[in-house]
Amino acid sequence: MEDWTDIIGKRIKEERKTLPPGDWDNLEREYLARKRSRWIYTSIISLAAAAIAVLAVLLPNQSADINIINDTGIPDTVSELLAQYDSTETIIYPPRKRNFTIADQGTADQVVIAEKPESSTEGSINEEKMDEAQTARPVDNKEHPYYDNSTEGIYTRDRKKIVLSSRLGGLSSRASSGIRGINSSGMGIPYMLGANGGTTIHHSIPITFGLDIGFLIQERFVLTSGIEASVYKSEFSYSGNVGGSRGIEQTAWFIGIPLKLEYTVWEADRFSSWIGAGGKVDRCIYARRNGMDIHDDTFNWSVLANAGIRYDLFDNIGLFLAPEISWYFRSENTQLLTYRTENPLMFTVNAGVKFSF
Amino acid sequence: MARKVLYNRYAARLYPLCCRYTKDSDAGKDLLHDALIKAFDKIGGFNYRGEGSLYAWLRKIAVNMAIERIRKEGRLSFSQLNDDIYAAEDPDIDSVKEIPLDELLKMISSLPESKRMVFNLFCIEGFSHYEISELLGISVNTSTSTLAKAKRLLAAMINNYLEKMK
Repeated sequence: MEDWTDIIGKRIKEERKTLPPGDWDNLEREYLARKRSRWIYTSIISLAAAAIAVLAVLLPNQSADINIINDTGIPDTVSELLAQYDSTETIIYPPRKRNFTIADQGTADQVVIAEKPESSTEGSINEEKMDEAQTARPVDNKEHPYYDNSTEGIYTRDRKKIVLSSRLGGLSSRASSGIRGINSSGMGIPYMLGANGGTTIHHSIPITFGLDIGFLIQERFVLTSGIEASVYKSEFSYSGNVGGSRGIEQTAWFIGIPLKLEYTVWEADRFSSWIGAGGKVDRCIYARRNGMDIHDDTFNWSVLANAGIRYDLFDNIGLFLAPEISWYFRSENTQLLTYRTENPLMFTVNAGVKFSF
Repeated sequence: MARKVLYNRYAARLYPLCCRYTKDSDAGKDLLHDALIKAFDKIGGFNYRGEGSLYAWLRKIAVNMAIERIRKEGRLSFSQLNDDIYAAEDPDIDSVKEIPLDELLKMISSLPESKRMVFNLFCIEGFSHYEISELLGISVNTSTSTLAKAKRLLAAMINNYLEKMK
């Protein structure tokens, strides 16, 4: 049975109002102007992100100097190369030891390894920032007369189904840098030997570029995968027992495939945040040390957990920041010494742009 | 042009809706433009679900944008709802039918923001209390009690108006 509010509702619902002449032209102009400014804004952000990425790669090494004295009995490529450079030196390989000891920089017969954080993966879901009501009918089970039956279900929460992300990941700080011994066996680690000299290793900031795609698989749950490229640069410099020093550079590129499940924990206005966990496998596709190619086809596995926050610039475009913690399972077969072979537990921060559809 | 067709078909229906959630007709027009621009951008994501679904979709965008604006302006507050409950009686249905629409709209627009919002959403847009609680971030109980107070207040206004017209 109708009550007086039903009468009011029905009358108001049927109301039509004529808009002033020229309103359409104003709207069209406004629409085109916004579209243009949005395009400009997006272009600027993209260019800025690209510039930051390029700068990050081109930045000089920022790691601390570290000294390594080889105590392995394995002549490796780098040592041999260095020996070629300095033929006056006699290289002596002491008996193999499994571990290094820690000492102050510059002290012979001891090793200090500096560590740098490494980039890693990230992902997120994008959330429709506009709250939309659920399909549930009135809680008192009263059939509301103005509920539009023809559109039943239209109020279902309409989250974006697909999220594309482009991101740049790098270290968040050097706080995780530390000193640890190295299990050198089987790694082909380029420990450079000197009778009374040492080896200094510079690990450049590892950088990761990633493209992810996420699929909404259930309310608030997004399954994310993608592809990422990581670059690890290191420099090994050696000071011999007759003075002088030699340097060897190493660059290694890895391609990785992450798989993560993420859950949106909070949404408000233009912000949303998520937590996630998953794993990643990657493999070296190119490595070069002192002009020589290095082949390393080891699969590197890792597990990771992340949290992120996103700010929506527009309906479909948002910026995000996602700290991540990951653990690499060290492979005994790898031929490369990089940051992550020395420091399996890493904390990194990813930042980038997300596009939702 | 598809955008113009959409405008010609739905703008006149959406305009009064936008005005109901804003202070005046100019603000209503701004809201309408924002909602239509958003709809133009998002039209690719619209799923046709039968007759009326396009209007419902547009209405949903407009209502959400209105709520978002009111929230940003800090005009929506449910914290001071311990106000008096008006003891007005329900107005006569036949009399309500005779009240000019403009007068009814004026009375509704003079309701406090939170009450007007809940009244509009429930009695005019047809949202359930559960949906309103989700939209406004309030509890279902708050929605029902706010609606009850809005109805009492509006009934008092209508009764007062009808008394004057006698």
